[in-house]
Amino acid sequence: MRTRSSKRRGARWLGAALLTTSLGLTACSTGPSSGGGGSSGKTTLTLWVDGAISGSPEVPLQVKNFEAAHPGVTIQTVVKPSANYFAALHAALISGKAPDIVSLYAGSYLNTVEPYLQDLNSAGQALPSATLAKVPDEGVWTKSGTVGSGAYAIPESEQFYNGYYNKELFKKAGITTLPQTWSQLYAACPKLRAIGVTPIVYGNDGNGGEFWPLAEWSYLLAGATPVSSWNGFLTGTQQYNSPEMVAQLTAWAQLFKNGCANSNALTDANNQSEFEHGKAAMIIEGSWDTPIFQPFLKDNLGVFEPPYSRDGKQMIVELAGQGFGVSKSSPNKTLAEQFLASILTSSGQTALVKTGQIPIYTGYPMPAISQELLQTAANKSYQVYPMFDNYMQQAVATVANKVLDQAFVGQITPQAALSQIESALQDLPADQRSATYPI
Amino acid sequence: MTQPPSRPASSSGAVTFSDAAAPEEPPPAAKLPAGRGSRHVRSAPVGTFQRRAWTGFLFALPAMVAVAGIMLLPLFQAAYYSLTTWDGITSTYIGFSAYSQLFFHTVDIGQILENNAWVVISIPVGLAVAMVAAFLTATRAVGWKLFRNVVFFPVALSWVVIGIVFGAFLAQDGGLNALLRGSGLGHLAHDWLGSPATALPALLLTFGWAMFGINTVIFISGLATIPPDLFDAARVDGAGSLRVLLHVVLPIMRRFVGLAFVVTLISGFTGIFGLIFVMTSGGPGFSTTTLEFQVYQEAFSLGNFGTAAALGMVLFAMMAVLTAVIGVISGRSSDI
Repeated sequence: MRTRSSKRRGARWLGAALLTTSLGLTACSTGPSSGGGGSSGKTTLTLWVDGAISGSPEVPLQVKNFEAAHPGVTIQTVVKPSANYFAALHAALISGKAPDIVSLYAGSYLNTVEPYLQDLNSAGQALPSATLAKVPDEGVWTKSGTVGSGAYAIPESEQFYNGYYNKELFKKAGITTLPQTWSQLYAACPKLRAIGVTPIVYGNDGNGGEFWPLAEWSYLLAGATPVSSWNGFLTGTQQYNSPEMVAQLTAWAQLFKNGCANSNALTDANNQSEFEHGKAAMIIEGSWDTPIFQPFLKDNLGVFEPPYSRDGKQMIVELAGQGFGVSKSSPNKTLAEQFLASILTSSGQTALVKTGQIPIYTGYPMPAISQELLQTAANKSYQVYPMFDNYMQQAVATVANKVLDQAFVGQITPQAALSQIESALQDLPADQRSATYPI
Repeated sequence: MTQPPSRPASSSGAVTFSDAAAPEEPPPAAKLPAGRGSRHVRSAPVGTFQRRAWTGFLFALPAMVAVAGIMLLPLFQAAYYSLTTWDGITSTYIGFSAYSQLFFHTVDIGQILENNAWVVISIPVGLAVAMVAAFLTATRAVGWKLFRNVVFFPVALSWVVIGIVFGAFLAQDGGLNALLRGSGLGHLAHDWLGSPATALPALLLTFGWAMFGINTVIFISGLATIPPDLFDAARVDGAGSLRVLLHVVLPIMRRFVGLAFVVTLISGFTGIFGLIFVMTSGGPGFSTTTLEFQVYQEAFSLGNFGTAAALGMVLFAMMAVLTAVIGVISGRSSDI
């Protein structure tokens, strides 16, 4: 006969067994799949954007266009902070929980996540090869830059690394022509300081850590070396710590030493704001900032190419800018590819232009500043260089990102900084020093 | 001289149980009927114990499965992947050469380990400040009630919030430099996070502030376990506050100090990541890069999950050794 205590014991056993079983089942069960069609016939795609939406104002328009053309389809835009965008993306891709559409950049930024991205060539439906072939700089959007080996993203815009300057402040300081050489740039600084402004403002744009030096890195390389030699930097036949590069970095660090830059260059979190409000005369970033600065400075906003050479070498740095890819784990690959295709259509490019960005195709009306940059790039006397950080191996770029800052503010010597970059390259396995790009 | 009957002694005078005289009255159990009573006394507790043990085991099983799944399995996985060149998809076994490569890696592992060492070295300083604060609270110094109410406040803040606030405070145009300028010490104003010489100390100061509350609360709890008589006795013997702290409080508080040290150590090797991420990104250069930050960089910035796993195992080993050493020291101390 079962007693009350035996019932209690049985209940305890049953409780323990149920708890164990339910926990085990919970652990083993899979979560609900992201996106996909629901019973209501609606589909939701997820799109990750790198950085604040103010830096990619065209994205909401692109999404709106696509949703209007695809009833029942919604794109949920998720803004991810730039400081850890690729880390978060990498983690999401590895875990199979990645968004359907991801914001990307060409070259080595793409290479680290390429195994998790849909090969747009192999899909061949929404984005036929002929369309992809027309995309500028197609080579750097493919595996290791090898055209024809697969396309993993499409660019939506053309971008430049460039400086912005405040025309009114230059006029007030009596500077009538833009500096074309290192010495002219040094000479402009005291004049700008005399009117109470910072000549060139550096900082981290509020992202924490130090300022991002890789926009200027391309101009420093360009000022000393021909573009034909740039693949040599990737393979090691061209040394980063050559005397020419040491001289370039020394000249760059001289800007800080001469008082051309703000003393808190490494950590200033308000650098953009200082430029926008006329407290600084120049800032060096990229063409994606035009729509950010234009509302503040209006007609007083001017663009220039950093004059980082002794002899006034005419050079400009340009590459296809932000692009988008489709994650392999997306349950809606076809729809996601159709979104990518929509960016390349006339309405997609028009949406881009409306927000002040430079389209990848010609024939669209653009702000004067964007036209100026494009005309400079088209000028035969100018040498167009690509954005070199898109080509550098990520391990080398990471070291460069850290040590170039330190060299700029005089915490380490230019020689030491460049030697560390060179060592980073030499420490890479041989197979990571063999890829070259169609530069 | 006869021994009292309740304290039988051996011939040597030392008290031994074997020398105890047999009780005059048998215990109550011995009066029960032989069969049933003996079964009740001998076998019933064993059976109950076994059943309870099994029930307890089953109830503990979910937690054990969870611990094994969440902690042990990833640990073994990390140990395996640390011997490979895992990129997140494919892994190639390379054995212990992965560890030897760490020390020839471009990233300055020596600098990184030194940074971690500074984190450890800073812990006793932070604990000493928290101990003094807790002691003053326990001795009801002026303002102790207000202090006791607000001291735990930093613990309620996330590392990111603390990092943002301190980042602004330590900026060149931030609060600290404003205070210095306002007090005539403008020549000391400095970009605290922008210099390799001051970035790590500034970070450790922030970390110490963040841990101050929890450590103070641990010590206040510990002080509450000390009988007030001890304080009174020490006072009667003429001991001042410092002597009471050093010779009465600290010896009794060693286990609490050990606990606070371990809690701070674990936070120092893990939680400080948030501060580094928000305040310095590991710079300038590598001057504030610690092992856990480098693990993140290797894994998610560079995709070198194998290298990151090897760095993680080094971090785990360091923490295990340090925790064991602290455990041994505090254990020995409490035996004194």
